[in-house]
Amino acid sequence: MIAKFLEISQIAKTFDGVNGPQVVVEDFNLNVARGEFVSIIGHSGCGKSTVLSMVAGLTASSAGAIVLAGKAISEPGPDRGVVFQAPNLFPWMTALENVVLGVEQVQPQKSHKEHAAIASHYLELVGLADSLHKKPAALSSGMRQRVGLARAFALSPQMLLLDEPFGMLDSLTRLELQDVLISLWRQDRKTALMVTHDVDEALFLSDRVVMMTQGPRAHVGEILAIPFERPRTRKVVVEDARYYPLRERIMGFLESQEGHAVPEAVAQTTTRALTESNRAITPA
Amino acid sequence: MAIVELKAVSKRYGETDVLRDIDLEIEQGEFVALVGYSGAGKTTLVSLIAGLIKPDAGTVMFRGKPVTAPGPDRGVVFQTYSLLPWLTVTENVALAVDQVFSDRSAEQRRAHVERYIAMVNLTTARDKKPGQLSGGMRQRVALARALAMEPELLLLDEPLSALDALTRAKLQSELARICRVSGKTILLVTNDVDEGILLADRIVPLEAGPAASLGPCVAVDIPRPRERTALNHDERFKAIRGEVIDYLLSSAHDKRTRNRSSLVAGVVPSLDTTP
Repeated sequence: MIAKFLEISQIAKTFDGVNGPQVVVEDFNLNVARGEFVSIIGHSGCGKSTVLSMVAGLTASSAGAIVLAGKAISEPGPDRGVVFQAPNLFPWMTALENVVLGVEQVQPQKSHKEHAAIASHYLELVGLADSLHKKPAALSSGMRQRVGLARAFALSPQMLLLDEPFGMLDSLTRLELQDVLISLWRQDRKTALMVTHDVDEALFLSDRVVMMTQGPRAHVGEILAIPFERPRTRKVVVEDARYYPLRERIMGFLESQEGHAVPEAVAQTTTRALTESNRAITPA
Repeated sequence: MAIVELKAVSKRYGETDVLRDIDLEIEQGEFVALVGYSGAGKTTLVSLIAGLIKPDAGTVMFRGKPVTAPGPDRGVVFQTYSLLPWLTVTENVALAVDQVFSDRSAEQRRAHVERYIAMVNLTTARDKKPGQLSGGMRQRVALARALAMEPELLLLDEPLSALDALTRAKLQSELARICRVSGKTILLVTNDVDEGILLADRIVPLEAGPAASLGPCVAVDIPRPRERTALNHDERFKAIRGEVIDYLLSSAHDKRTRNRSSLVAGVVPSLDTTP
């Protein structure tokens, strides 16, 4: 068993700002085990999407290393499927054609019939069995994001990266899509890293929730192990006596991060101390 | 006496039934949150009460009289702020105040505008134009403008939904405070159950569309001020939240299953039966 399927070591990202270089993320450390679902939660602009983008290979890190299944990441690749806030579907193609397009790219050896079978299987799983031949314009935004999820899973990547996947949906449609995601994920327990600012979403889906400090020089503030048994249903999770205390803890952390950046010296010692304690609660 | 009264109201656009058989009463001084999915018809309901559109069936009454047109007695704040970009914060608010209170002196109107800008904490930004303000600040200008008209009823249509989570949380607390001091009758439309519970006296769920009706009302009997983080150990909060979310999710599920089986007989997605 590989305990560190994804290893993020001391990565940093510096952007050139108007007033000189801006250190957005610094000394960010995180290990993700195979089959684990980890969420990164933080306020808008804290740098959480930057971290995900570096793991996707879309943004180069300024320092540190990211290793996936023993291989250093330097560019994007089909081993990592990314789901963005908007599914970026081709408007002139049907839902099925959009998913087939991706499947063809990663499995060129298979026949067209097999591509279509894989694509329609995943579209059925996300509840779009009767919308296979509809174009994006004929679908609601929630349905379009279902296509995005089906496509990501149909490509069968080694790892899923989800960047606020339901951020553009209303909070009720978001709940439905979380159910879709968790039932898809249940099939093959794909290793997943998700960025979100929704506390309930993180609690329902994750094995661990990584709370990021407010930037600049954002890093891992605290990591919370989420103990709910799987398979999970919303009703059981929400009625678990541990749910609301965990929710309060994350909301408390986020509130403590509002507005004020931690003084640098303090931040560094805390990071080190917390990184140590994180290791203690990380599943071996 | 109910200040707003809807009886058996239905509204359709072309072939699509949007609202069906809506009955709703809002008491003087009450804060009601209408919670439902995007596209369920929440804005249609607000527009009916505001007098911007007319129902196809049923009656919409305000203060015992049928609603026939918009008026300054009902202030509306939409998700998009609709501020005039070439006017400053003060001028945007003054524009509304000058219309509604044309009988008052210029000095009185100026003081009135300033009071409401102060209420939403924008005094330091009063000479800025919308382009120089953040989304949260613009929404506060829109709120100040609506409040400054001193309407009898305030209709808030997803006023915070376009904002990021942090700004939204801050404005929710501020909205709670403003509502307490103003003592207005308010109808808040939102898709966020937590927002409804944080702010309102009563939650009215609107089931998923098409042909949406209202679900059973839930009284929010949690003492004020309500604090977001502390609510996590409030038993009433948990119970109300569970009840409203359950109702809304199952209404959507039922409706989709029904629509689907009428389209493709016997085909129901097997999402729930996966191992």
